[in-house]
Amino acid sequence: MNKKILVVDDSESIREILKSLLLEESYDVVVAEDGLKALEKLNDNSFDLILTDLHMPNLDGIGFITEARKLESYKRTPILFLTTETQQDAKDKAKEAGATGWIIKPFVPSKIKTIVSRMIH
Amino acid sequence: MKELKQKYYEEASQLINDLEDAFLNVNEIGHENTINTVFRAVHSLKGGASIFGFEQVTDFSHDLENLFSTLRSNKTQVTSEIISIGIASSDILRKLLNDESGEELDEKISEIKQKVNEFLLDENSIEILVNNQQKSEQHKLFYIEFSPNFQLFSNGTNPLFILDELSNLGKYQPYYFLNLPQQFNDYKSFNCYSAWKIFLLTDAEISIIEDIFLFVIEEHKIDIYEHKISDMFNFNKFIRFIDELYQTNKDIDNQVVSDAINQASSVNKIKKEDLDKKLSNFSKANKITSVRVDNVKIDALLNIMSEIVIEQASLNLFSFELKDSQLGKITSRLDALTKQLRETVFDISLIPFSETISRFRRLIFELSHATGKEIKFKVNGEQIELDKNLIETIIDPLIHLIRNCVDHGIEMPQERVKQGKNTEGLISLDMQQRGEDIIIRLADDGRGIDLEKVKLRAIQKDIIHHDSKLSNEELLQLVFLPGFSTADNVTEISGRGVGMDVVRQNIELLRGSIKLNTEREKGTEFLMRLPVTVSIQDGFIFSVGHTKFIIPAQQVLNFSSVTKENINKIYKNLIAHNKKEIPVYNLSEELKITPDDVDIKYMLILQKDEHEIAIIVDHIFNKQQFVIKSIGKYYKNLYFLTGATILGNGEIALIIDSSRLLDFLKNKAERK
Repeated sequence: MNKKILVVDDSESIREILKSLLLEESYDVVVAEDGLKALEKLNDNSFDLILTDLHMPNLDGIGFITEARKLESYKRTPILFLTTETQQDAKDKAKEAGATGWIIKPFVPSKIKTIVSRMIH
Repeated sequence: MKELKQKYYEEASQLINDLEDAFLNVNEIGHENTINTVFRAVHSLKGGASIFGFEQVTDFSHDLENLFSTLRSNKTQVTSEIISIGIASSDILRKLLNDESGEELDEKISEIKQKVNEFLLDENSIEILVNNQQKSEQHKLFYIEFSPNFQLFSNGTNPLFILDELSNLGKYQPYYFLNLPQQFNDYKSFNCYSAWKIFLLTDAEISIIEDIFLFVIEEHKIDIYEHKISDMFNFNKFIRFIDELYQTNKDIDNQVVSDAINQASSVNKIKKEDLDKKLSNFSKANKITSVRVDNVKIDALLNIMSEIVIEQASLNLFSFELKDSQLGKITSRLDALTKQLRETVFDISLIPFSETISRFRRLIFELSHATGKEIKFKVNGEQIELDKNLIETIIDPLIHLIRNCVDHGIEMPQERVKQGKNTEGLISLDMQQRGEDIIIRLADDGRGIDLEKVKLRAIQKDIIHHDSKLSNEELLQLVFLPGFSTADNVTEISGRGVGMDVVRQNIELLRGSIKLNTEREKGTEFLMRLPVTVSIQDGFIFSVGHTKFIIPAQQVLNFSSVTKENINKIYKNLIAHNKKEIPVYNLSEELKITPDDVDIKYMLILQKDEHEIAIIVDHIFNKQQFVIKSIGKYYKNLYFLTGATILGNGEIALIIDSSRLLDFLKNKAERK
């Protein structure tokens, strides 16, 4: 069975790029445009990995990660967040919230593939 | 044809001149040009020579061609040695071309040829070395210590994926460590207690490895050490870890480490064996668990210890009599230290019996070959530690007994088959410590001792009278008498030199005893009982009349005071103790010593092995350490006395062994 990945980002273009990249690697991909929507999806699906942006309306990345970690079935699921290199502060907050790792924007497609495959086999 | 040959001759002469010139003008035309010119010249010379029948020129120029083609591809500098070879060669070639011959020339040719070959050998090895260097320098050895903290799993990290990614980089060897909490209650099932030490042989850059650890490198302990392979043995972390692996017997014979070692050794031009030695020396050096000390020094130490113990006893007595509280305190502290010191010193003089076992194995191996008997040797309890003097003294008796087992006990294979036994005989040696005694049991499953033969022999030797009635046990005791041997033939193996009497003597010298049990066709066993500590013990001092005795503290079960009246009430010399009847002896009567006239006497209940015995004595004094001194053969009849000791006040006390005392008193009663 293919591994299932949840991609959360408010920018449609980024969502689509990530989706197509991950589909190439034959992962199943579900997208959500903000943290709240993403939380809803968590209950209906069983994801092997979550990829989320930090700056989003309604519920931002940090909030989403914090909430997701409260769910029993997502206690140990790898969660990656998208960030720019300069945001050490955001990085620390996200890690504190329970994120596993990060992907630096702007990203190189091959890099994303490598990191994702490091998280789920 | 002749013309053509002449033409070749001219050409060849020219080539030889060119060749010579090239060497002489190295500095003008440069090293590379020189070698190229020479190579071309030699090559052309060789080409023509075979066509025109200059066989020797062909042969010789072939060798030169080899040399210069190697020099050319290695871009070797033209050294004076090469120049001298070149010039000598052109002389030779000229002479060969003129069809000259003779011993002198042949000698010269072979000399140059040898030089060329030597040169080639060196050049080729340089080439190999250069290749190795290039190849191995691409590889780097990474040694990675990854010790994540407990929370590793809490953010969804799976360390196995990280390791997996590392393993894709090259040759990879992880070692896994588990750091579980001490207390079970501290254990949390979601915590990470794992750690890894990893060898990675790869051509990847360190940044790639760091990248793999990217998400965990900040919060968790990750140390990545990169090392050039050629420099590996200056890499302390690596060496220490290898050593650790050696010590914990982990598999270090893995591909990564051995590859790295091999590469390092080829680069460093170290022989693998040297390297192994270096490594093993290293691990040994770190593993010093024992120090060799000269026997003489240990003996001296033990002697001094004995003296200290005696002096300590004097000091204790002196301090007790002076009743000075300050002195009393110091004395009691010093006494405690002396005891500790004594124990430590004894410990030093103990060596594991296992070190001696190989001698017995060897002996049995050799004996079984010499006799054609098949023998298995089984040892139990060889890890026991014994006083080295004790071991030294019992080796010879044991060797003698083993010889006896092989010679008289174990049958030939055919005979064993007839008896329905395994063709392979069994000799077993069991050692165990029981209280203050070491019990050594040596047994075989051979034919046993023929008591009839023993009896006949004893009668022959006038040891017993032919109509004396002896129990089997008593008959067996005869074996230990001097000059007694039941073997039909005195053989090479046993029956020479020391006899069983010497065995017994040696064992008794150690204040031990030996017993023999046997059953026809089933086997024979020797049971030896030896005291653990040979020279210093704790004991109780008591007196009967003016004579002082000391008895090892372990043998004293308890003591109580008894009145004269009560002593007289004792019925049939028996008292009840722990629901058992045990014999009571009044030592003053038994040993015919005039007792002190005291109203209250003391009763000591002694125990050794399964035997209990009560003795009545006049006084009981303190408990103290005592040093055993031999009393020689003068007290031979009083064999319950195992020695004497000097007390703190200079008096002498006789040492009693309770089981022997019981034996002695019983015998005495029977003789009455």
